[in-house]
Amino acid sequence: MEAGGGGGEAGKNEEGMNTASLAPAAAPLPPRVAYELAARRHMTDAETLFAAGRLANAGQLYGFVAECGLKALLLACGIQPDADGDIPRKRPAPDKGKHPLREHMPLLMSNITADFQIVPDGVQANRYLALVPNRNDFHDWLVDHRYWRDTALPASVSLWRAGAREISTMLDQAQQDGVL
Amino acid sequence: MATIHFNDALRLAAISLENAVLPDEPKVRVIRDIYGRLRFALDCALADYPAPALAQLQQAQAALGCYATNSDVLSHDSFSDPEAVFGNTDWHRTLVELGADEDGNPLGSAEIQLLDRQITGQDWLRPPMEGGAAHPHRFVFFGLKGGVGRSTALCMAAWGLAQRGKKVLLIDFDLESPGLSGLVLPANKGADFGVVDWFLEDAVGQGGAVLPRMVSASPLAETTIGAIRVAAAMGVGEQNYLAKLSRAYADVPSASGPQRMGARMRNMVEQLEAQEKPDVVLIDSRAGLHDLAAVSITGLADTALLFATGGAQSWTGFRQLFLHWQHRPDVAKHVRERLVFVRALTPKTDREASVRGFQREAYALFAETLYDELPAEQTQESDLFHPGEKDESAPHFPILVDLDERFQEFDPMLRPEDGGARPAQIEGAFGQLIARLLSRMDGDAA
Repeated sequence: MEAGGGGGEAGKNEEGMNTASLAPAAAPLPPRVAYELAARRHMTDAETLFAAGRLANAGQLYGFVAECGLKALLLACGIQPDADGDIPRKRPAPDKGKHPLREHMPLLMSNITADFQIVPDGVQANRYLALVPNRNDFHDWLVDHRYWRDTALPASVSLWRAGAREISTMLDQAQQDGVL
Repeated sequence: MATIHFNDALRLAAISLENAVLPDEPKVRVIRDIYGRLRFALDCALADYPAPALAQLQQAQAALGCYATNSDVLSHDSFSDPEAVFGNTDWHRTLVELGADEDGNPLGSAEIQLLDRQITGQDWLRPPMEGGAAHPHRFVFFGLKGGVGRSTALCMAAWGLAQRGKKVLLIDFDLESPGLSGLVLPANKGADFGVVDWFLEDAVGQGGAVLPRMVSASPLAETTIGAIRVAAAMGVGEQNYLAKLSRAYADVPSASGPQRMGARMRNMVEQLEAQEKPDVVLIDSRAGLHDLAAVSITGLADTALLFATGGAQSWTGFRQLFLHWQHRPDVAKHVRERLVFVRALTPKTDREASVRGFQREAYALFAETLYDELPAEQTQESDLFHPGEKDESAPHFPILVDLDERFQEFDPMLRPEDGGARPAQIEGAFGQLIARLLSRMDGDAA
């Protein structure tokens, strides 16, 4: 049997049956998007693939480490998430255009630089972006690489790996600081 | 439950660590985040820590109210590079007073490993690494507030040292209140660039290019056998100082991680020393409990001259600074012997009583905070650092600088015939300061 909803209806299901003895009221589910967790998961798996010589998919994951890590930072610096916990699709009102930070690498990084005033706490964001000196590491990374043949991929995995490590170190710092 | 405030949180965390049943290794550490919230940290994988002990930690952490982020205990699983996190040099052995139990019996203090993540101020706890390159003695002139005659004393000390044949390098790090150069350099006779320029140019990779053009000779040393070289806050004809100042403190990204203000300041001082080869360096520090002062006092100074005028305002501030160090015994040991109080603006009326009062206060402050506690019984223990109240070379024993109207709104560059001070007058007011500097420098040579 399902547990009842929260609030005033706690302990009762839709038919008004008393379910309190069966299960505690379920807490509301956290938003599905959790960028810090995702970044760390991709990093662990990328390193596993890299160690096994599976460079093509390792490289793909390093790019997602960077994307998720940066988005975790951006949300911690005042970007208001949507209901899913993600960067919203649209810019804040009144503009309402496409949100420049809901992008993959490398466009995400260049949009952070070009459209930095969209980050509410720019001072804080800057402090952590200073931990990511090589903003260009992912210039030749594409999310579409996953469709490509191995021989067509750029030989840039070690650069992407270095970039992903910088982002991970930045997350470590933000985690210690209580910012994430 | 009573509201938990900042002061309670660390104490409560330390008490719960004392009371919990935990394995000996790894010792539980504490990370305090930039908001002051606490989390326990384990230098191991979470799965390798006994579950019952972990449950106690989670419970204790949750009990910290608003000073806990959540009940998650940090471990190797929380970080991509746990070795770097747990090996960070900002971890400090930290003493926490536990307060008293319900019956009012004092609980003493506990020692924890604390990583204090702060927005600013980290540099108060970053003494220079042992075994750095040899450098000329660096004196930092510091006051909690302006207007205590610190810059004038610095100029006169520079003159006194030049008079004795020394090549003196002055560096103005009082960037928010730049004025030292006005005392030692005639208008329009300064260098092209100032300290503030170096910070900007260094950030874009060309600090080395401005270095040779940011130091100029002060005419103050014209009549001496030594020299006074000045690195002023700004270059001559500066028009954009505020635009530069507002960028000077940025962290600069580099391949080896961000270069922070403290490291950059040290870098500049070392490069200036290499270029100028001075016998002694006098640094005008920003006043107050500010990051720039922290770097100067903790990270640069061989001797930090603490200017105070007595009175509550001085003692309250210095007391807080000393307590900050006292709670980190390893840092305190490093810093305390570099400190010297300067009794600034010593009044002429009631002089002796005022000086005695200052000496007493200064000694009491050191004895309570930074000197080692003396055992109740007199022993032969010799490695305790606790100089006697009358020990004239001790950190607490103040250098006296007299209140002398002649040196108020005073232009040190005026020759005596134009109304400037005569050498004998300078020696009279600042002789004790100059002598103490020379004796500290001799201490290096010995």
